[in-house]
Amino acid sequence: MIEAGRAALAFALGANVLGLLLAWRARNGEGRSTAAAGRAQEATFLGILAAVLLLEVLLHARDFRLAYVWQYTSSTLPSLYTTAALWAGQSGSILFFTLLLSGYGVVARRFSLYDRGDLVPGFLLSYGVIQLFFLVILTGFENPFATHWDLQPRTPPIVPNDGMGLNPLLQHPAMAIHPPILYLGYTGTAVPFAIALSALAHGRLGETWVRSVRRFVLFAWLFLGVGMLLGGRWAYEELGWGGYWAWDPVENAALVPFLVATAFLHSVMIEERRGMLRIWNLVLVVLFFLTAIFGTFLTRTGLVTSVHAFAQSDIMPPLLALLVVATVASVALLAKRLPQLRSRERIRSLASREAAFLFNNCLLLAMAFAVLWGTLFPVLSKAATGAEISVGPPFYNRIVLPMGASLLYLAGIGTLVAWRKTSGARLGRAVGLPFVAAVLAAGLSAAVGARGWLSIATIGGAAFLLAATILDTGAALRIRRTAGGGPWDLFRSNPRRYGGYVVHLGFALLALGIVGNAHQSKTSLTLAPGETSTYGPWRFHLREVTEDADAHRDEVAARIAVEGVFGGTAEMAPRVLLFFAGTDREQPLTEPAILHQPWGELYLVLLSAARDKASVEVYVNPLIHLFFGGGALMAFGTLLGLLPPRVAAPTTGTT
Amino acid sequence: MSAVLLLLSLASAPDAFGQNLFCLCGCAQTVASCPHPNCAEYDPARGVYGKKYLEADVAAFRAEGRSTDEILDGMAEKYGERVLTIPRAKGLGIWAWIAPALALLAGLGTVVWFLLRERTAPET
Repeated sequence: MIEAGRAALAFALGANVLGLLLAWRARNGEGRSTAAAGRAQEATFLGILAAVLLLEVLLHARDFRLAYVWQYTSSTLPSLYTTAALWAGQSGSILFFTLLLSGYGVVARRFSLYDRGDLVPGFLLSYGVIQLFFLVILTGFENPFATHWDLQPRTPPIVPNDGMGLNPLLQHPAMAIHPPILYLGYTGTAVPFAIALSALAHGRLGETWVRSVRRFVLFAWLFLGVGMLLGGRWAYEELGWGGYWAWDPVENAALVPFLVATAFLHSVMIEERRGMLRIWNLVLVVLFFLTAIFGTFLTRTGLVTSVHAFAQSDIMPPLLALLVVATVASVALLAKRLPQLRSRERIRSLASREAAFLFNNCLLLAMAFAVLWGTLFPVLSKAATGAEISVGPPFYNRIVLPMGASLLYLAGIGTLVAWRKTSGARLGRAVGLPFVAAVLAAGLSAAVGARGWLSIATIGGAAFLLAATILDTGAALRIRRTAGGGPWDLFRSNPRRYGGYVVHLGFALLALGIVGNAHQSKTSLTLAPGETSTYGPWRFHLREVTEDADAHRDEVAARIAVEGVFGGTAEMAPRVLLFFAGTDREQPLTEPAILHQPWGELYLVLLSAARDKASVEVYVNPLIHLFFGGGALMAFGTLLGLLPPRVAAPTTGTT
Repeated sequence: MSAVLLLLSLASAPDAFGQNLFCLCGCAQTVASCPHPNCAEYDPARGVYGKKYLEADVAAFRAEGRSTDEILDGMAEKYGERVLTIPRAKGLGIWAWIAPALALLAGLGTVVWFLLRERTAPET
């Protein structure tokens, strides 16, 4: 089985190289070679798929000859997490990453580029080169089918009785699906990049390539966003520090391409509508891919310290080489096609949607740069002076969040201004009501105790965006009603526009959730059984401290009755778990108790417990459901925007 | 707008010590968000200090009547700049703050320049 896995990877590498040669021969449009290169691409995918399935079989069979199986499973690991162990470690996750990458390539060629045969050879060539780097990593640097004796030839040939087991922190349903979704986002950046390079290489820079690219960017953006959201929920429910986002380098690595893609999804509208910003959009597609690969590079090479990063390994050279090759190819092809990419039209007014989108792009890229800069600063400072200067959450909160709050206002203005030009009087009328809503919301929030200028400005921005979206939709609905239609007809007439509005509503709610997080409060309580203590309007009564154990873990829980919540009294039971996983991995895990309320959530973490007392940390997390709900609404809006518009039935007869 | 909000947020920065210090137990999280309930890791040879030790130092500095900035200076002196989550605006650390601000200003300047040039350029 182990040999079969290695053979499958070798087959995939061989098929990929053959596909590259065929795609190179087909670059001038030779049909037979193009078809053969397509088949080689599918063979590559099948080889990688076979390797993934074989590794899964070995994981479930607990074949501890394999170093990977020994490191990430144990005889007691549940099936779901044994399957998920595929992406728990460096080599397995790169294999899974490569499978998704390869699958995207096949889907893009067969279903998106089926009518763009002129772009296929260049696409296969670019995509094959990207795949080649990952297959070289898998076969030469991080082979998941390596045995203990491959890695340490002097090790005596004894098969361990049990494995190390999966890190208990990763044994959570969100963690089982969060990495695959995030990987779908990362790998999804390769398709638009390869299509863009192909369009540049073949000089086919009309309007249709942008449409193919936009859809793939949107998919990757959606998966990156949902992946980050699930990761945040996991951190909130499992790590026990009351938060969901720590500005950790791995989180930042996903946020940077997400911000770049957000910029593209706005500026591409200018190209589709007016044929402008074609160079800029190509630059953003290239940046989207490069930042995703750079994020992969950062988190998989041990370059930065992170709570999530994989162990340090030797894959820096091939990933660095991929970055260099992709950058050089993009710059060279862009330079070659510059004359073809110049726009004929002009932006004639600062009070136009085009101008608003440009400012939006500027803010989003400045945010992306700030996040990247903060992530790299410890490495750069150490290289420059030998002493590391750390950068943590307060830095990002002060630099990035004000720009995010500004985006709320800009998104509202972008909704209200028209394409080409909006007169001053009309702009004043359009912005007036949202501005009043913003001032009222900000004033009200300050009156009821919102702390800090940034929080108040963000609440104002969220109100501005909500009011602008409602006003614009209301105006369109009135027009639609005069023609006999309703809200559903309005939505189906332009799902992309109204799906985008739902995304904006989600963004406003998410921003309010972030404001709520800035108003988090906490305290520590130590209680004896039967004792009661108060914090704010709540009374906490420790009923008992319980202990439990099974074959996998010990568990201590404090059962606490909480009074003063909506609906009377509730019981919360924060726990500490001690897992016995495999040979020597014993790890305590705090599992907070969370009480959902209309205003937010009460969150209890057990700090220590004995039979006669328990210490808990009490967090009050206002509006936190708006953060997760807003994120979910953004994802829902994106899906709505992917629906096809209803095409009006052709009218018959004469008028 | 962005620049104004940036200034306002700097002026209203919260004084939460748990957020201002990294736990040096190896968790790569702040003292406020270290996932270990009673983090008391200690290995000076490897530069490992759990949050319990950091919090004890902060309490000692407070007892001496030091201000927030003086406490942060004291912690940086004892553990190095890596213990601070906010780079200090001096030495190399000032570039952590300047570079994003410069990037934003450069971007805004470029957009304004581009839009003004577009308004006056002839159609082609």
